[in-house]
Amino acid sequence: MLKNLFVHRRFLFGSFWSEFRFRYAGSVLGVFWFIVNPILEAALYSFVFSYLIGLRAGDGRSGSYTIFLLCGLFPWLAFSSLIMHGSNALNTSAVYLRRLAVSTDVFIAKESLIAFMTLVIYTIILIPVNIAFGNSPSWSMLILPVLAFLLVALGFGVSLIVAHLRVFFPDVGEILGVLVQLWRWTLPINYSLDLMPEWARPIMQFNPPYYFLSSIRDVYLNGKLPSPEAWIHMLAWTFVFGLLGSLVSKRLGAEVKDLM
Amino acid sequence: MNENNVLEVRDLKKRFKIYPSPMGILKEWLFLGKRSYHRDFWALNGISFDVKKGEFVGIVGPNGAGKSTLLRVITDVLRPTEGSYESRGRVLSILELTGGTDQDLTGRENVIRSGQLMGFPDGYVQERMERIREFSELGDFFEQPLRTYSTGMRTRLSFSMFAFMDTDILILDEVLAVGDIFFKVKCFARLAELIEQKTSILLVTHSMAVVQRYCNRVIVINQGEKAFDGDPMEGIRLYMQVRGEKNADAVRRMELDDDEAAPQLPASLPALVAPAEGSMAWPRAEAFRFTSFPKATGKSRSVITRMAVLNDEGQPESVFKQGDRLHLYCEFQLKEDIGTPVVNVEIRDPRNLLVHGKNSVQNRMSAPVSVARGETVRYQQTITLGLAPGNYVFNLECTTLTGDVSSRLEKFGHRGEKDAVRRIWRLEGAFAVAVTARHGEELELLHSGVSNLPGESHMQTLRDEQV
Repeated sequence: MLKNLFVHRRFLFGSFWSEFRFRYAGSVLGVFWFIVNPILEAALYSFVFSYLIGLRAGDGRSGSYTIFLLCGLFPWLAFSSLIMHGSNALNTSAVYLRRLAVSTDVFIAKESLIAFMTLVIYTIILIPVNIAFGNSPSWSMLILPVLAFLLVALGFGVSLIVAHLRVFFPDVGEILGVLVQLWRWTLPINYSLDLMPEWARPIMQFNPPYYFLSSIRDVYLNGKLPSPEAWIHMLAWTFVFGLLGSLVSKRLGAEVKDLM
Repeated sequence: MNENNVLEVRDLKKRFKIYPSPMGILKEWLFLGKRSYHRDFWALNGISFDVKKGEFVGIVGPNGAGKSTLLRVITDVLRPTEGSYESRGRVLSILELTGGTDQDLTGRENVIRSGQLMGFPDGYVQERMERIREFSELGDFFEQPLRTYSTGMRTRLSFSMFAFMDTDILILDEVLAVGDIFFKVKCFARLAELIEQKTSILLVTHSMAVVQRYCNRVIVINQGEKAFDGDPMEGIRLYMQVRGEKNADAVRRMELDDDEAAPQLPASLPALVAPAEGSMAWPRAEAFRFTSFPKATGKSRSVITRMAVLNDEGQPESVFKQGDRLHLYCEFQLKEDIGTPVVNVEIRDPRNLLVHGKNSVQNRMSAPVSVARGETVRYQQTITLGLAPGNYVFNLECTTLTGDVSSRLEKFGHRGEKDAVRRIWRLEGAFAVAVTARHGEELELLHSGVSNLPGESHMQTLRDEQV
């Protein structure tokens, strides 16, 4: 599969760039739309959770909930939008699949590149915001691109599986929409892990994105590098989904093209 | 792989699984493939052929014959179920070029993008950009987004792109069906240059005129199998025959029934034109290729028994050169008494444009005043095919005149007044012929447009003192 992506790298980067440009630069306000959605969502949540409900982040400082939320929400939004766009990537690329000698995984790789760029932009926004909220920048932030890459790799693996299934069963798209919403609330994004019941906490290690999101948040808020345990979990999940995804695309890729 | 070949295809098969619903796939997966919930459709059923360096191969066949599937397999888009294919050098397909375009990019940007897609090194396309822009004749549109283009303009862009990219095998799929005649002539001139440079071309087309003019070999595909491989003229004949058989089936379904209630026939009509003396010339029995016609039912007013389409030599033919004469013979037996039979021949082009229609009255033919039940009528018409190269479909119809028509007969056209005309039978798509360009002359330049109207022209130069 990696060889495949390398062979089609020109097409991959070409179509990534034109789509990325079009999705956000095609409109008048350009990149503004790119961030207005997550910012609005963050503002809404901090109003509801912090002001109305009075939820505080670990150290109890007011205003710290907003930055706590942002550091978890932004990576999640990039990840979930990768899964939603990625799962639909084969259907929207039917024109290409019908005519080009390009394998299915290239189109999901393209979505993953877009997700990675999104994360990079979010990082560029989050770092100064973080400083404005009184957290001092640290050298550990240099690890953020690596974490972003791993999170995108996980999303790539998951998307590979669902995208192929979605071509055979259109219902997968609908199910996924609901499932991703639910998934979000099983993860400590809007709340911290300590708010979870005692028994639920250990289960988190079986929730694939958990270690990714908590590691990223830890880097921003506490300048803390991921623990070895976190590294093992992240690498293991990435590997498992990467392997499953490539098996699925190898097994179903040709059949998907027949179906187009 | 043979030294001279650029493409070798061996026993290629492609199966598509047709599932009635997605549930079928799910069930099959749940049973781990032990039970089958699909129907197999073999789009390609064992096709083998070689393409040599510098060959211009036409691929023809009816819709759904597997032509596109074949192209998609040899361009690596689809994986073959069985068999193998091997190509030497770069394969460039117009499918890829149109597939890789982006609506929101300009013509220029799309050219660059297609270059990336084909895997050409950076700068390769830029070097050729000016020639591509010039060849496409798109002018300012070259810098406009593709969504502002018409279909013809898109074709121009695609064709111009690959006309200047180096390749060993070029695959064209009906690209030259659109676009104006001048651009087409230019395209074929460019293709001829490519052939000279030892590029091999595979062209899928429905235009027999193009096959006859440019291809040095034709492969006829029918129902996923190779029906013919060789000389273009022979192939075209076979293809037209295959299509003819299909038409006979269509005719069977179109059996005529009583569309309008039959008005009462007058006891007799005055003699319109004197009957011919003696009997007319009639071809030998083996000339009649079309003999499968609908059997008479109680409703039918007649049975068509035989039909033949011959050339000047009296041979059955379906491929004619521009300006050739076509001789049509048709025989039918009546199931009821009718008045004067009028046979009408319509020629339609692929766009269903009525190119020409003429009936026996307009041909000033002598006809019997009436025909009795059980009698057989033989009809012959000669048509000079002064037509543009292309495929043409013939519709035949027999009507009879009722009422007092003798006085109006001079004005009676093939679409005469309804009360005076009663339909006896009609054969929609009775047969089709291909009209091809004459050798040694430029494509379609005998005349432009659909038909070659008879006429002459004169010119004179006058000196001042003569005026």
